[in-house]
Amino acid sequence: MFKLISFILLACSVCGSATALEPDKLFTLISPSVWLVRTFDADGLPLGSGSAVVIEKHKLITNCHVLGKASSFSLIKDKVSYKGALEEVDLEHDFCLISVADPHFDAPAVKIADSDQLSVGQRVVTLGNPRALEMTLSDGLISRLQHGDDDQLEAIQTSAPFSPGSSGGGLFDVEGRLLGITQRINVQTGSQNLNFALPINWLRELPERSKAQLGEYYAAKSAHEPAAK
Amino acid sequence: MKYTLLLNTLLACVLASCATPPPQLPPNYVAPIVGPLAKIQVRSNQLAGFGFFYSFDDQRNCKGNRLVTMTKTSQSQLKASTSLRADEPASLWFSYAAPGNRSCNSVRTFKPASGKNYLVYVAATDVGCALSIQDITDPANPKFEPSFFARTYVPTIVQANAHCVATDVDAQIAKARKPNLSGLRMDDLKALLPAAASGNGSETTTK
Repeated sequence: MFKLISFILLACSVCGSATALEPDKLFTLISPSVWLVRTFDADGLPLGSGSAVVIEKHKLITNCHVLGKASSFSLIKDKVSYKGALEEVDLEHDFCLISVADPHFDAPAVKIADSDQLSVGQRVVTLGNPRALEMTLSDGLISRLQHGDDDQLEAIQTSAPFSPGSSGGGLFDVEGRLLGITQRINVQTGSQNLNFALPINWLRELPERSKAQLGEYYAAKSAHEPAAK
Repeated sequence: MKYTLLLNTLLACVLASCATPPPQLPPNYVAPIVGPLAKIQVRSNQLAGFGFFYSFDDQRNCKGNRLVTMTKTSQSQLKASTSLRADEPASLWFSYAAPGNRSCNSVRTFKPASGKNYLVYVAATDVGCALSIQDITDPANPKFEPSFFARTYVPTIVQANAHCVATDVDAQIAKARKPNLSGLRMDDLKALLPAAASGNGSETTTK
């Protein structure tokens, strides 16, 4: 009987850890889905760079601020470049959905977690392109969950380091599921490793919020501009 | 008789123009004592010149300024406590006159909540005036007030005519309350934006 219980306990512990991948395996799993975003000005000159994560076929999520002031942008990996297009915009949440029309773009989508089910202390990894250093993996913990006055999750603070250029990259759990989009760091003097990702559940609201914000923008523009002749 | 009347009138006019009164401070602000109220504490940095802090009779349009406090000497700081009507827009104006005829102004509107205590911190530096508002109801957990937004103040020679540029104050307060994590305006993405649902093709530059 004792042997049976021991066996069941052992089996369960093996089951529980079976999905937690070693960092190298994790990298192999998620890296095809994380891309470098390079932006260009109206003259086609490089403007800036960031990251983006494939969330469904031909669709990626990034931070809008990565695309700020750009006239065009490309998604790059392993010296292969695809032209990107902006599909949906939520400036308030800094979530922008972009697409790649090229049929050769066959990057796999990541699995998406429920960011309302996170725990402080949970192990996480980030994958992005800090300073355009393609595919930089780092690990850490969820250090803190930042909630707003309405108790809604506003940001995931993590000790997994990121840097400028990581914006739009992914914060993943050890099973390779996307928890958040790496967005900002605290660079105040004396700060160390205070990094923030935006909860991936905001993706669910993106279509509606984008429609509302774009609608408001175009309505304001049409109200202030004479009708085209 | 007619000549004397004309002379007297002219004399009166001349005297009146000679006796232009010196610039006067507006009436003092009188804090409300009934209804929903919020408290404000006004503080400033060390001001090399003179600082003035006003509220308004007409809070939406910034008309009829009322003096809340001012520095009595140069090289001093503003310090005052008073109350505002809560749950409606309140406009605050910090005006600073620096040595050497330089001056700056900062006017902000926000919506104080009933029972809250706010720290209004104003500062004048080489680059201009600043006015920030923090909710310090829980002093251990100060929070920047999300509802406040900058107003464009139009000073006039006759102070009574000074006012803020008309705006939909309630809409601006609601808009200011929404955090904008991207730090962008939609125009910053205009070259990339998808077409409007109404078919505004001229806006489409996606490539």
